[in-house]
Amino acid sequence: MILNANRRQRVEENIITHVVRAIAGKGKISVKDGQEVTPEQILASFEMNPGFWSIDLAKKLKVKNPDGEKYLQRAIGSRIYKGELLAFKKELLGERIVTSPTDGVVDRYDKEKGEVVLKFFSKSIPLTAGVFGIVAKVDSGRGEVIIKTMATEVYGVLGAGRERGGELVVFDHGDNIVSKEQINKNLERKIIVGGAIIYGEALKKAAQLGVSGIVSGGFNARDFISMAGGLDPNHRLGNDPGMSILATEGYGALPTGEDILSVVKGHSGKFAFLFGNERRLLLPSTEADSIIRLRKVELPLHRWPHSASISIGEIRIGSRVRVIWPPFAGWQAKVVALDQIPTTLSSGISTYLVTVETAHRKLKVPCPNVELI
Amino acid sequence: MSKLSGVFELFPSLDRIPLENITSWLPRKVEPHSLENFIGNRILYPQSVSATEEEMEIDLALLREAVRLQNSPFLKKGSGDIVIPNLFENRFPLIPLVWALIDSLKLKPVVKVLIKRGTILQTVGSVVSLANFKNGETIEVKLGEKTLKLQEGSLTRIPLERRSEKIAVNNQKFFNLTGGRAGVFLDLRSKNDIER
Repeated sequence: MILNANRRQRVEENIITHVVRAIAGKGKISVKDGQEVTPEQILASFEMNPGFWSIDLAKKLKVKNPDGEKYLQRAIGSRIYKGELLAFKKELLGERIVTSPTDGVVDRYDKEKGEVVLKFFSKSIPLTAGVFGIVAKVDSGRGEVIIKTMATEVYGVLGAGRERGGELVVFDHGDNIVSKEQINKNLERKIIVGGAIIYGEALKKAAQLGVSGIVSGGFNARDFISMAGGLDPNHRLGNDPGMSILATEGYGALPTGEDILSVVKGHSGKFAFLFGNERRLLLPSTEADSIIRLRKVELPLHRWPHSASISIGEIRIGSRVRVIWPPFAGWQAKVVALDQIPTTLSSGISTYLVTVETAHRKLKVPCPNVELI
Repeated sequence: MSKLSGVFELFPSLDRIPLENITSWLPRKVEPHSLENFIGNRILYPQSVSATEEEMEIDLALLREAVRLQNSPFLKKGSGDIVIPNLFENRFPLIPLVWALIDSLKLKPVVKVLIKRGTILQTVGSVVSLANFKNGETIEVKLGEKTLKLQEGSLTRIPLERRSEKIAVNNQKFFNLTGGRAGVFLDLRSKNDIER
């Protein structure tokens, strides 16, 4: 009796692919097509404007809204630093002084609202390559540098969000709940991996704090729907919920698979790319020698992105499998026995069972409820 | 590249079925978030099977609602007989499956239940809708040597392994029914009894 199961690709090592590094504001790209780059190499610098601050000046000076501008002590367009004199009004029995609450540029005075608007100083931010690679194309118009690089692909089963890059932070255990308290400012612009599930409140906090991405064993369907727009990954709307997310196992609290966790742990602290809508995590090679292989390989710029392949395989003694249905969903184990006659389950279905062994126990699982790794 | 599939892949709109429609079929309370996760994982892993009675109840409720949205694979043109593809026979226990299909499909007064294996159709039972024949609250049904008094609003299954049997309703209407593994289902429910 031959028992079959799906074999779903989860990790693909040493593939050659393109990554896109893009500047988020006005800037200048300093690399050229064909140039070889290292992870810490600066590709470009760009100006980022962190925003504005409004001060209700007319109210503070107790004047009519249009008149507030007369009392400004700095010209529109001039720089000012925190604590410096911004406005001054002499009165019969004293004076009114307004100082700047922050560093910035006096951008404008709004006569209708009686407000002076300070623009924060622009910051110059460097864009590093993040990978060993060869520049395939510089697109100055879009502010993008496309780099050919060697990487390991990790495929999940559901995800949302556009491509985002960041330093990988791997939680030690793949079977815990990632709590709101574990999400802090130190995780800004990073990609978190690990945990069985992260709930809605923690996801929202992560998005607010600017976490680039989250990879977890599972998500609650309700949380995923609110971020991705739908339950069925085949009906993807290509949403971007402000952060990229990827589940490696399915819906619910499911431990991140050991096959994925072991690969990702080796990449902890290094740069990675998360493509939520494509359900994949890209771990660029950390070996400088990878450039030698890249020099020999031509890769067309316009090609379909990688996607996980699923094929049918035979379950044999010794096969490594992943349980995909409760009560042991997410567990990975080795097949030690195959039943030769079917068993009727309490659900009323008759099917063949396989005996699998994990590090801690043996269990019998219906063969449709496993996938080959 | 081919892969193992499952019955629910035939229904592309599973994620659009309102949760309350599914829970209304369930005899036990299921937390909404658990039910949503269950449906999501059915979509991700359509080849998986229910291991427990509770999971099968959810699968049958899901099937009822999915068939209501899209009943075409199950009704034979012309006769209106129920046709169960082989894939479904392996995935659900037969009698609850027929029950679920009776709940979801708009059936003619007398139909057979057939299982399709390749090009072969095997009769496994029959369904008789008796809602039009009610006379007060109960009707009398004679099936072979058995006489049954059935309540209005009920759905009753009678085992009938024999290929053919005569049925008499209130000694007024007579049918020839085909039996089989599923037996004969006598449905005295009105449309309102089935709809929520």
